[in-house]
Parts: sequence; structure tokens; C-alpha cells
Amino acid sequence: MVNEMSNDTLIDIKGLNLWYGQSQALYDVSMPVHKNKITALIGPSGCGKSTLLRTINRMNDIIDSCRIEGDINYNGNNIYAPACNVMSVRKRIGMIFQKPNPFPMSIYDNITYGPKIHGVRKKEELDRIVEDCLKQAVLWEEVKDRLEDSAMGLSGGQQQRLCIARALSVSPEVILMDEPTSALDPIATAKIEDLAQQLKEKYTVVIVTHNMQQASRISDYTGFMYMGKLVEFGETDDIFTRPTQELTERYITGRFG
Amino acid sequence: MEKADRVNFMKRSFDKDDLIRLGLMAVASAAVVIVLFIFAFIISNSLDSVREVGLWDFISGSIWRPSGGEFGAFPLISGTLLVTLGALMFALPLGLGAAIFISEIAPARYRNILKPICEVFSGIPSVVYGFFGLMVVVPFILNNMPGATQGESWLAGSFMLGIMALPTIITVSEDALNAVPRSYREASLAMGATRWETTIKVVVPAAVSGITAAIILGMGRAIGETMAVLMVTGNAAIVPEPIWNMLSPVRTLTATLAMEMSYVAVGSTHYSALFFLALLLLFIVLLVNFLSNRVMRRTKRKFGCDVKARKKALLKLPRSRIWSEYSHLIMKAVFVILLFVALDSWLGLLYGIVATVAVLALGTAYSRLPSGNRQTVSYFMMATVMATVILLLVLILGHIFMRGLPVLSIDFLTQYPRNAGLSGGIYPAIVGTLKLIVGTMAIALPLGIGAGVYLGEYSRDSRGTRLLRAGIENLNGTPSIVFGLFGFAAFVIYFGMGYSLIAGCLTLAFLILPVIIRTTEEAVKTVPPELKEASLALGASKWETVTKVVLPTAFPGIITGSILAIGRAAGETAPIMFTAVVAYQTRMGSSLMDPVMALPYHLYYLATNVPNAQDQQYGTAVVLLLIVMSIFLAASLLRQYYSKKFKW
Ligand SMILES: Nc1ncnc2c1ncn2[C@@H]1O[C@H](COP(=O)(O)OP(=O)(O)OP(=O)(O)O)[C@@H](O)[C@H]1O
Ligand SMILES: [Mg+2]
Repeated sequence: MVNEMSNDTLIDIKGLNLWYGQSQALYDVSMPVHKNKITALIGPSGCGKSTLLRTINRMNDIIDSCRIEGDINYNGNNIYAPACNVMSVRKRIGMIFQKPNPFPMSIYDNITYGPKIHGVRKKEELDRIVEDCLKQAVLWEEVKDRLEDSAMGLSGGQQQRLCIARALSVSPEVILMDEPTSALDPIATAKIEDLAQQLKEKYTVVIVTHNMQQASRISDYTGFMYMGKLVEFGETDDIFTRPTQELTERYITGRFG
Repeated sequence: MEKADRVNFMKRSFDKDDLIRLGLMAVASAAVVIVLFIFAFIISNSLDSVREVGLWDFISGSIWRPSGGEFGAFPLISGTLLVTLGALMFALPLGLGAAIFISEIAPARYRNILKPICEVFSGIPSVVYGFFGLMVVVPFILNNMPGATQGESWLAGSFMLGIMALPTIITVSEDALNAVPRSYREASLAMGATRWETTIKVVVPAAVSGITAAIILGMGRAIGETMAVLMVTGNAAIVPEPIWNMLSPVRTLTATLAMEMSYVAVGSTHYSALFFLALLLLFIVLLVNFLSNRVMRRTKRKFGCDVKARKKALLKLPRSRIWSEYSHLIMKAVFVILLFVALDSWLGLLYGIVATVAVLALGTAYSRLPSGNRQTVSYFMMATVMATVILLLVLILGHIFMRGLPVLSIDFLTQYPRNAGLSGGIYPAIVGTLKLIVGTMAIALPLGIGAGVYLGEYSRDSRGTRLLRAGIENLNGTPSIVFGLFGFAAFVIYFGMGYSLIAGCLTLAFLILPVIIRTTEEAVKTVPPELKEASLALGASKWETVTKVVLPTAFPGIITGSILAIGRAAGETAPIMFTAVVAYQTRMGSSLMDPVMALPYHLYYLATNVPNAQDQQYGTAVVLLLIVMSIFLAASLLRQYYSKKFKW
């Protein structure tokens, strides 16, 4: 059992501490992320979920005041090793943001942006990627006739699926999602949740969510964070039915604070 | 009993508040009247010459020789456009590079130093730029450019104008880059793009309309500039031969006005022709302003949330896919051809080919680099550009201060000039400049602040206010030489004031009025509505609210804006050169109707007429710089002081 678990561990976070300037935002977080599973991060606002998520593809590098200690091993390589190439880490580990953030370009250009950056030039190849990714993001049927239209004209839910397609365009292995449905209505939310379920066949997903039902519905593993610490981590069923920590129990039953 | 106690809510007579509102409205309307006045004066004065010469002959004629009755403005128009285009050649790469460096590359703490440094450029009076150009750039061109027979040239003018357009281009584009939502950058970085790729492929395209506006604004500034070009372009009214020969002298519209207004016979055809030139100039500048306003409005729309507008604001990547496949190739071909022509004409055929090949090879090598190295190379280039910009500033200020500071002495500051300016001091010029400053403030502040308060607090969005705003906007873009022309025709001649302190103050006041109105309006509008509501809810009248709540809160903004405007007025030459100043005084007049000496004009006079008075020239430049810069420094200190004191 133990062996099997560590075998399918794709990302291993070990002893992670993080500071924004003087104030510490993460305290000694250790956690595995399993391959082809959905891992959910839950916890009250400001507890460091986004921060933890963003350390996984080094998006915190762009914040000047941010300082990190600890390791994150991805396929056995420490992504915080000095020799590590940040760009290729981010290519392998994509990210979906809380608010849909398509570029103010056409739908087509949004999706080909990443592949072009990474050196794909051939038109047929780009066309294939666009179709493929939009299909995976279940958006193809809705937009196939208006690929040259502005992505800004799409609805919020469509925009978010476009962002997912865009993330898929560079063939990542892992997709990080930071509250991807919090700006969407229930129907669009359901679509994204379905999509996440389908994605896990090919990708590994880490999702931050405020919505406990969402976490229990779609995830295989759940981590509960509180004030910068990872309080409890385990299989989602266990966390939601028999949490070992009192704090976790109070949070998932809504008796918090 | 009960009845007597009841307050009569319905009572509403014509009270103090209405009076004040009307008063302010009158002040604000004065701004429009002034604009109309200026236009009317210029148009009516120019009619004679158009009637005599004919509109088409006037614009297309190729010989400008007023003494022989030949009025062909084409060389002047082409001179203006060429000098401006040339200026863009310098200002564009430098300005954009610096803006990208400041906004995208420099760490945040340097950003707050770099931007104000770039703004120092705009604080240097244009006559000082002209002086620097004359002393440094012109000899440099003469001695170092192969084939140069004289240093005063299109190249020199474009170089100086390019430097002067820098602050506008840098600050406005930097704002545009900065306004690009962070989420775009994050999305791009999260896909493994480097920061440089993100900058070039996402941030710059998203900011493209703001950047365009910046370029157009910079161009507007260059077109309307007088003193710097007047002093370094050689002023021959010819079209360069061949047309790209940047070593040829040229003459701009503004320079023509500045030179010929001083001796033209009032009422002659020549006099009228000069007004027509001003009209042409005004037309070009207003067109440029109009364009930049439109582009700016589009930028605002782009980041708004209206979906329809956003759709329209789509970054226009080529529409059809077929075109998009070949556009790259076509653009490349066009670029190569242009490059080849440019290098060829400059270096000759053989070296031109060699240089073109070299540039292309470098370009290819660059695009073949791994993206990480490409970023390093690009960052290095941007940093070089930034360093060049700062170096230019250090060079200009350093040169003038090094030569000028040793000249300063008590005698220099307190004595009258002697020997036509060859020796003696600059006392009357200092006093004259101070007098002009005080007089200008006395006229512009009450008018400007009154109009600004009206616009910010009282006006509704009606036809009238829009007209008002448009008037002020256009007044703001009008070249200072046009104000000078107007001041001469209106105050000096029409109202019979002659060359006098009062005519100069009025002209300068008109020049800075729009800035003061605008800053006041903006400051008034930033006062939080809750504060006003709190006051009104206590039963204060509108006017009480304005004087007790709005104005004190908006005071810091108003005062710093006004000081900046005054600083600008203090360094201006063109508006006063034929309204108020004389070159040489051995005793100062005491009344408002007497002419004065002033530092900017004195510098111009010494630099162009008394070549042997180098010490006096540098000394005057330093004193002028010190006065103007201490005014700007005062404004920025005040701003810092207030921003610490009040925080919302
Ligand atoms: N760029 C930053 N600079 C400084 N402090 C930050 C920054 N980003 C986050 N923090 C701080 O780090 C802590 C964790 O923030 P984080 O955004 O990770 O919380 P979160 O769990 O995602 O909250 P939410 O559910 O509201 O999104 C907070 O105290 C926050 O104020
Ligand atoms: Mg968050």
C-alpha cells in the first residue's frame, strides 16, 4: 500500500516554508500529489491555498518579496534546484486562474500562443492543436465557427474553458486550478467539474476550492489548510467522513471560527 | 404655535449659491471665449494673404521669400514634417525601450526613481535645449559626420526634438504598459513563456493603443516646438536635396514665425502670411491631438468591461488566415528593403550592402537563440537604452552646469549687463522673469481655479460643458509660438499695450490656463463623494461644502499642478519674445506697461547674437535652469508632503 502510493506520486512537496517579506505564509508543508488523480486544497480564506498552489509551478517567482525554503520534487527532480529551468517547469505544469483571463486576442491566437512560444511554427500543426485542445476542453462545438473572433466576447464559463484549452495547448502533465469556478454560475461550474473529471485520465489535477461539495464530488485526495499549515491530508473519502483532526472536522461541518 | 415652528421647506429664492454658480460659469466660459478669440484673431489676420496669394499656391509654392513677395509655404511645411519624423526616429526606440525597461524589467523600487528622472527632461526649458544643441550637437555634427558642411541641420533639429519628445513618450507608454492587467502576464508566464516573450507578445500588443497615443502626443509636442529647432536647424527655407539628406538645413513653420514676427510690418501681406502659417501649424497640431484623443479613448474602452466594446478592441492580428501566413514574410521583405535603402544612402552602395547583411545576420542569430538567452540579450538591450536616456540627461545638465556654475557670482546676479551683454550681469533678466511669474500667477490662478471648480463641481454633462472641455483641450495642445503671435496681435497691437510686462503676463497666463483648469478639475473630482455628502447632510450649502470641504481636500492637487504650470511658463521664450521682452536694458521700468528682460529670451539673444559671450550664456542658462528646477522641485516636495499627510 505504502509502496504503491509512493510509486504514483508525481509531485512531492517537502518541508516547504514561504515568506512574503517578513510575514510567513506557509509553515513546513509536506504533501504528495498523485498521478492522474485530482487533489483538492481546502481551507478558510487567507490560509495559503493559492500560495501553495503557485509554488508548484514557481509562479511565486514573479512576486519580488517572496522567499522560499524547502523542496518540491517533480518526477524526482527538485524544481527549486538552481539549475532547474523555470520555463520548462511551467510548460509541464499549467495553471488555471480564479478569474478567466483570456488574452485580448482571437480564440485561435489565444490557444496558439503557447505552442508558438515553444517553437511550433507549422500551420497544420497549430490548427490540429487548436482543435484538439478545444475538444478536450469541451468548447469546440461552441466556437469552431468563430475562431477568429475575440476571446473577450465569450461568456465567463466559455472563457474559463478557453483558458483550460489554452493551458492544455502546451501538453502539460499537471494542471493547477485556483478556484476555477468561483466566478461562474452553477451550470458553467458543473461543466468545468465534468471537464476536470475527464481531464484526470490524461492529466494530474490540483484544484483549490472554497466549495466543500465540489471538493468531495470531484477530488480523490484532499488537503485541509489552516493559517499556513497543512493540517490534514488524505483520501477525500477519509477526510470528509472520518477526519483525524478536530480542526478539519469543524471546518467541513461548518462549525468554524 | 405649531405652525410657526414649522420650517418652510419650499422656500427657494435666488440665493448666494446661484450667484456663485453663475460667477464660476462665467469664468469657465471665458476659457471658451479665449479659444474663439485666438482662432478669430488668427483667421481674420490670415485672410488677406490667402486672398492675395491663393490658397493652393500658398501651400504648394516652393519659394518662401517674403522680401520679394513670394509666399510658398511648402518648404516650411515639409521642414516641419521632416524634423518631426526625424525626431521620432530617435525618440521612438529610446522612448519605447525605456518605457519597457521601467515598466517590465526594472525592479519596483527603481521604477519610482527612473520615472521622475525621465520627467526631468520635460522640465528643461526649450531654449536651454536649443542652447545645448547649438553648443554641443551642432559642432559635433560638423566635425564628425562625413559630408557635413554646416552643423545647423535637420539632423541637429531632429536630435534635439527627439530628446524633448522623450518624456512624453516614456511616461505615457509606461502608463499604458502598466495598465495591462496582471492576469495577462500571469496567464502567459504560467504557460512557460519567458518574461521577455510575455512582454513582447502579450503586454506590448495589449498596450498598443496607449503606446500609439504616446507617440502621437510626442509628435505633437515636437511639431509645436519653437526655440530648440530655431537655434539648430539652420533655417534655410529649402526642401532637402535629396529628400533624405539629414545634413541639409531646414526651416520649420514655428521657426519662421519666431524669426519674422520680430521685424514684419504690421498689416502687410507678409504679416498676414505669418498668421496663415500659424493657422497651418494649429491645424496640424489639432489634427494630431484629435488623433491621440481618439486612440486614448479606445484604450480606455479596451480594459472596461463592456463586452461589445471589448470585442471591438480585439488586438488586431491579421484578419484572414491566408494573410496571416504571408504577412510575416511581407513585413520582413519591406523591412529589409527599407533598411537597405537607409543604410545605402548613408554609407554608399558597397558598405550599405555589407551593413544590411550584417544587420540581418545579427537579427537571425538573435531569433535563433534559445528563449532564455534571447531574454538576456533583450534585457541587456533595454538596459542599454535606459542607460542612454539617463546619460543624455546627465550630459545635457552636466555640460551646462559645469560651464555655467563657475560663472555665477554676486556681481553676475546683481549687476546690469554691459557691452551689449558681453560683460556685466543679468540682474534685470532675473527680476523680469520673476515679475512675469508673479503677474502670470495673478491672472491665471483665479481664472483657472474658478473654471476648474465649476467644471468639477457644478457642471453637468451638457453640450455646453462638452464644448468647454473641447476648447480647453485644444488650448492645451496649442504651440506656444501661436500664443506669442496671438499675444502680439491682440495685446500689443489691438489693445495698444505695446511690448509690456502686462502683455507678456496675459499671454503666458493664457498659455497655462488650460493646465490649471484641468488639474483643478481633476483634483476636485478625486475628493471622495462621501465627504461631500457628509457635509451636505449636515445642511451645508453647496458653496460652503466647496470652500470648507472640497477645496481644502483638493488643495494639494491644485497647488502642485499650478506650480508645475508656473514652472513651464517661467522657461518659455516664444510667447514673450514679441509681447514683453527686450534684449537689453540699462534700467528697469517700473510700470506694468514697461517691457522687461527675461532669462529665456536673454539666453536666446546671447546665444544667437553675441557669440563671444560664452560665459554670460552659460551663466544665464544655469540661472534659468536653477529657477525652473527649483519650482519643479518645490512642486514635487509639496506633493510628497501632502501625500504623506493625507491618505485615503
Ligand atoms: N503577493 C503577496 N504579497 C504579500 N502577501 C501575500 C501575497 N499574496 C498572498 N499574501 C498573503 O499570504 C497569505 C496567504 O494568501 P493566499 O492568497 O495564499 O490565501 P488563500 O488561501 O488562497 O485565500 P483565498 O481563499 O482568499 O484565495 C495571506 O495572508 C495573504 O495576505
Ligand atoms: Mg486564493
